[in-house]
Amino acid sequence: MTESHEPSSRPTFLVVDDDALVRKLVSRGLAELDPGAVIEVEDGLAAQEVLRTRTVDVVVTDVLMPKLGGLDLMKWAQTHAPGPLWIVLSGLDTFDAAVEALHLGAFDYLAKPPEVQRVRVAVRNALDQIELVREGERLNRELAQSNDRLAEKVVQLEKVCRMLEDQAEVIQADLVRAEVIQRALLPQVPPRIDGWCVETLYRPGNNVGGDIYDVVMLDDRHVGLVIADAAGHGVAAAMLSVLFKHRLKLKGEDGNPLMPNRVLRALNRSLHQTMSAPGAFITAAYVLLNPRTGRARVASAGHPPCILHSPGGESRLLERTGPALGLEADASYEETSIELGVGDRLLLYTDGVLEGGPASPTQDDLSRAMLSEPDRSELLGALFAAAVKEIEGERDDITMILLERGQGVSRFDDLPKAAPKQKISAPPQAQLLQSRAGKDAFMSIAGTATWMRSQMFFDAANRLLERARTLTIDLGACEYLDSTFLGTLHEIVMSRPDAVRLQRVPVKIRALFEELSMSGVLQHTSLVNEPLPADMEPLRRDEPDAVTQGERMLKAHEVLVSLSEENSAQFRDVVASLRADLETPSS
Amino acid sequence: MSGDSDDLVDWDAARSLTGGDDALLDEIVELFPIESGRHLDGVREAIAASDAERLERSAHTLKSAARMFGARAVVQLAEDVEGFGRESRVDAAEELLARLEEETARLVEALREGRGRSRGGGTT
Repeated sequence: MTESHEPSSRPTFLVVDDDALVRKLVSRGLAELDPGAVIEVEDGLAAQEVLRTRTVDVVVTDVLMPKLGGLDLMKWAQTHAPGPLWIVLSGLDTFDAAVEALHLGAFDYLAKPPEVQRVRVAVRNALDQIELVREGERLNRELAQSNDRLAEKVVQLEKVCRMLEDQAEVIQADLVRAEVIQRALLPQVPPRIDGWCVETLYRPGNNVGGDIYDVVMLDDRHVGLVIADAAGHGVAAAMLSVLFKHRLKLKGEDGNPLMPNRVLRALNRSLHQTMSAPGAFITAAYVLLNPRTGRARVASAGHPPCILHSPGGESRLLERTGPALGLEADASYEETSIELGVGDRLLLYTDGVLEGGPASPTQDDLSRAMLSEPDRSELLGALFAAAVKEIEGERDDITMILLERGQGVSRFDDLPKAAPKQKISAPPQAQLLQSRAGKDAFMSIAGTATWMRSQMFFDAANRLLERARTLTIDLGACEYLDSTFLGTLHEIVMSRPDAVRLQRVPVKIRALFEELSMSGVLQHTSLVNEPLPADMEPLRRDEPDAVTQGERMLKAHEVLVSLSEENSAQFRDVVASLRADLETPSS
Repeated sequence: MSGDSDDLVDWDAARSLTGGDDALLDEIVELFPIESGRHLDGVREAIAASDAERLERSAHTLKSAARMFGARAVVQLAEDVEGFGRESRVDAAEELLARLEEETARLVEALREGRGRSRGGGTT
């Protein structure tokens, strides 16, 4: 009995009554409804036979009949032939039975003896109802289908996202390896030059950069200082700088140092032949110093002027003596001769110092700094700090070499060798937003969230949970969470596991959860992404006092320690030291 | 005692059932003698077999059919017989059987006359 119901097909009616006169009246009423078929039977048993073998739209049945009554027929049909709508014929004496039929799900009842008109109206209503139900089913089917398609799309998108994230990770890993290689091209240990000190500072804008430098003892009367800046930054610039280093020849065939003008001229020719890409060029300055006399020759290929400074005297800018490398086939370079007395300083730098940030120093600032900063070891760090101040996002590579005639320790600072993953510029603090719409609250974490914002986030989450039924925390734009923030997040999730869920968790953040065995948090990470409300607003900026912040750090790390043996080993000392700090009354 | 079928048959009630469709009315008028005979047979057989349930059902159906024509006497008698059937009082029903047969026969006759008259279309 499962023929499909086509909405357009003509209806089939079944009339069940042992009174031929009633059947005649009912059938006449039905005949006016353009039926596909009107089947008449005398009792319930015969009706069962019909319902077993045919699809019937509406059954009009008497209650009291031989063999099988109308109510028993309906009960049987509920399990064996569901589908038709039922209209029960009832006189006043069987009215109770009619009420029971309605309870069983009958669509309507008709008083006996039935009037043809009433039969037609009741059955017409039943057909309308059938049409409505079928239309509803059709819409539901369509909805379910489009839901399926949508879910499929979401899965595909998530797959693409994961692929992109994986590729980004691969690229990042490549960059880290490239950085290691490029750093290997930098001088590792400052040469010991009697009566001279050299300070350097090297900070590429990305993992790899277009700056390169060298300080090399050529023989006991010659020290070479090279600084170069390949156009642009990033991978292409880094490869140019590697090419520069490879082609750089400071000594002639006889093993004697070459003069700066000859070094640059040869280098230019070699690079010009090799570099055909437009916009590919390198600026460079080469200083050849006689450490005994303090006399030096300087040649500059389009490089920003080196600054020579004598204590109590004027600063002198050593301007370029020829074009940048790689631009002209046969460029020649002049030389500037200088002499450094005791206490004199010479500063070589790349233009990343001067450009980029709103607070970047000018050339005059550099000169003044050389004058006012007596402590050589502080000078480059201070200039760098000024150069990158208030820079958001990308910045140029920055390299500086400071040569000073005087006793002291030489130092090469190309810092983050120890932790290559760490970004050079301090990451901006996380952007934390919240919103509550009725029973559903939302929070989002963008950027890098650390212990500094943990208490604030914790308080805000608890405030939202007091009034909301659910809290969705969105990590779509989250870049990093430190251990305090991770522990705090775990506390929030586990305090209300029924209410809190995380969404759009980036692969690298998920990796942090996994690394710290945060299975509770992972279990509450949802693949369904709720759209965030439009009215997300920043969290209230409470600045917790040091003790509260310390307690937060302690609590967060205690939570992490409780999660696994590895965590315990990793954070045991942190917890102990935080406890000790908190127990000591603060001064 | 009147021979006028109008005393026995409520033609207006019957016409309202058929919605004024005289052809349909003719059909059910034609069907009644056969059907009522069948139901009376059912009543007789039920009494003979002391089958109270069948007695109730057959009398009930006869009553329903007679009600279409507003035939009060047959409806009342059939309802009484139906009640005896429900109460398993087959003997009491047997006492009413002769009157029920008689009244049903009068109704059949009245319908036949009325039908002839209605066909005559008021040419009396």
